[in-house]
Amino acid sequence: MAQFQLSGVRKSFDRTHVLKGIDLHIAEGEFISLVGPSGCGKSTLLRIIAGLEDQSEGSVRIGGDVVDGVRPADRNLAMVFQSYALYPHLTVYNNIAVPLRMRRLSTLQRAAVLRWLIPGTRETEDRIRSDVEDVAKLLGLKDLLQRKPAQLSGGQRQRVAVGRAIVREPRAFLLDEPLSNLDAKLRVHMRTEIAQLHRRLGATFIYVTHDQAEAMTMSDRIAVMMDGNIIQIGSPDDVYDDPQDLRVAEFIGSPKINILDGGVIDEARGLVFGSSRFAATFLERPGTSVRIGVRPEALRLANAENAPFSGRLAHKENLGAEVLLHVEIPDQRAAVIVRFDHGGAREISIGDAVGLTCSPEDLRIFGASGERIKAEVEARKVAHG
Amino acid sequence: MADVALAREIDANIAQGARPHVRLRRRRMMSMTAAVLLAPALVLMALLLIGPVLAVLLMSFTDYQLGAPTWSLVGLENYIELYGDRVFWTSLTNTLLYVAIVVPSSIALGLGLALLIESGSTLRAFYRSIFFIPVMATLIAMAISWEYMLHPQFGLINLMLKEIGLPAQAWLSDPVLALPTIAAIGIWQLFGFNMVLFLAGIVSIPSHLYEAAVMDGARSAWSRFWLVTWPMLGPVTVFVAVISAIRSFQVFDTVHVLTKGGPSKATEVLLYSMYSEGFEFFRSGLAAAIAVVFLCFVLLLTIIKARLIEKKVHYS
Repeated sequence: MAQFQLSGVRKSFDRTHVLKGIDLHIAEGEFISLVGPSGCGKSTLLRIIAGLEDQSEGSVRIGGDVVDGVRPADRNLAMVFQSYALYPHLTVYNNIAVPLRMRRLSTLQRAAVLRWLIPGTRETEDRIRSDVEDVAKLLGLKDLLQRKPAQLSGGQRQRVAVGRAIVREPRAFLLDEPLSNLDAKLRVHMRTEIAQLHRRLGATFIYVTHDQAEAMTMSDRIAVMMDGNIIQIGSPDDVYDDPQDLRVAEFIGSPKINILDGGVIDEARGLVFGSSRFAATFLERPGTSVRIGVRPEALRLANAENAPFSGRLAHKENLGAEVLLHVEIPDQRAAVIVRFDHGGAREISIGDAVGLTCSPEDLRIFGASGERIKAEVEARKVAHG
Repeated sequence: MADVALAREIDANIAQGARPHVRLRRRRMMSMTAAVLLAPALVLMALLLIGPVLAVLLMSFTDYQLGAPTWSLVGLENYIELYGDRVFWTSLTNTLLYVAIVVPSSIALGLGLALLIESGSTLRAFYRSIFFIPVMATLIAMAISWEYMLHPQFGLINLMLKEIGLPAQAWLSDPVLALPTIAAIGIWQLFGFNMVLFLAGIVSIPSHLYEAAVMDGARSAWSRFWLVTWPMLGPVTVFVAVISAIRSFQVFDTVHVLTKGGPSKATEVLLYSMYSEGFEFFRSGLAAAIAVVFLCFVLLLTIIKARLIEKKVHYS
């Protein structure tokens, strides 16, 4: 187990800057997710931590030691790859045993011929066997030990890859999109398994994913990456409730946050949208036009006549446990999505006029370049002009 | 609704097999088309491959002599003669020895070079081309160059040996050295081909396997080679081994140009025996029997490849 300290990590391939100065501290035993759209540099960052890639600038410390230039094998980290990277010619047993054999046996003791003649080989192999069997029992692989990877399903292969990582005690686990090759149902199931594994092992997990749901459900902290920068880092609740950037707000959460154009900060530092005014103090110059973000579950139905947001119901998605209304508001690029619990909004049908409102503290206001505009919420009621 | 009804009617017609003769005719047409499309390939195969092999097989049971007006069936006489012929056994042993030297060496050299080229970052294309040149060159012409280089008095190789204080060798006229020398030329001619196949094989190994190996603690290139490269190259290696073996069995050009099977049958090989029996002594029947023995070896190799080894190197 170890903590990680990344300072000023940059990476460029020729003229492309993939990482533009990453500072990140990862505490011992923490489950941290690096999440972002593809191409944001999250995998490159993980590979730099693993030592599979060298950073162009900056340094990485693991447990207090600077590991720049230290080979991956000597960093004592375990990695689970997106493609699982199992050795196709080896059985499940041998796949899981590889990290132990590499570390506990000498080159001669690994050689195919005469290895049993070298003292200690048999004893070490016996210990390896019991360790591999423990892991197999933990992951439910006991009956598959003699199979080859090609004879396994995706989920089983994924488990073997995890087994190969946890069989020795590495300082941390690096997981590079380990669930993205699984079908949706299995992915949800493995999410729970990995989170439980983390609790059981108590080790540091660094988890790379493009799926915000995986990051939200498993992590202690989430680092949201865009264009080679970490633009926000915090607990799942922090990142969800208090996005510092429009891109974070849009990336985290499903269904996506609603973004409405056309808000303006007035003289009294309140927010004006159309004919409505939200009485709150926003720390921004009067006259600034802003974009209004509001989560689907923060919206409530209101009288269409005088609600701050009003439009027509374009589509209704019934997902069983929840109902999503797609409300088209004039002059907005996308339909506003409103989330109701099961049984909500039964009386509204497609084409109906719908009025929507929300509390001022549920508004997330962003400037023209996507930066968050902070608010001092004064009053909790919406004033109508 | 009209089109639904129409579709139902068509379905009903098909279901009750309204016109079985139409379907039969269609099926016959299909097989006719298949036959027509296959015909050119079948004719060529029969003409160029199966026909000649059958002719050789037939000829091996006759006493036919090249140019003779008549021939008669002699049964297994040619094979019996081969069985009792010391030269044939020398020739067979020499061929197997040649294969045993050339195949492992050209595989090891080809694989080694492929690994070196792949691990380097510069001049890859240059090295690839340079080592591939012997494969493209006409062996019979190259054999003549080798003859000059191996000349006992003024050959380049002996001059170089003298320069560094080693005794000159009679490479092609010493019965002990002649076959290994021919084999060395065989290796020189073959390893570039194997190298290219191995290069292709190495490129197709997924890089994440090496990354997994490194994370698993495979510190040295040696352990990564045995953990990833060698097993992943299994199918390529089998293919290369079989191709190399078949090509080595076919050794002829160098023997014909450089030694004519000598000195004292030290480099007599199967194809050379066949050639001399058939075209120097005109005993075509006997030559055909040698050809059949040769074909049996090639067939054996192919079967071993297909049946035994291929299953072990494809990991599914």
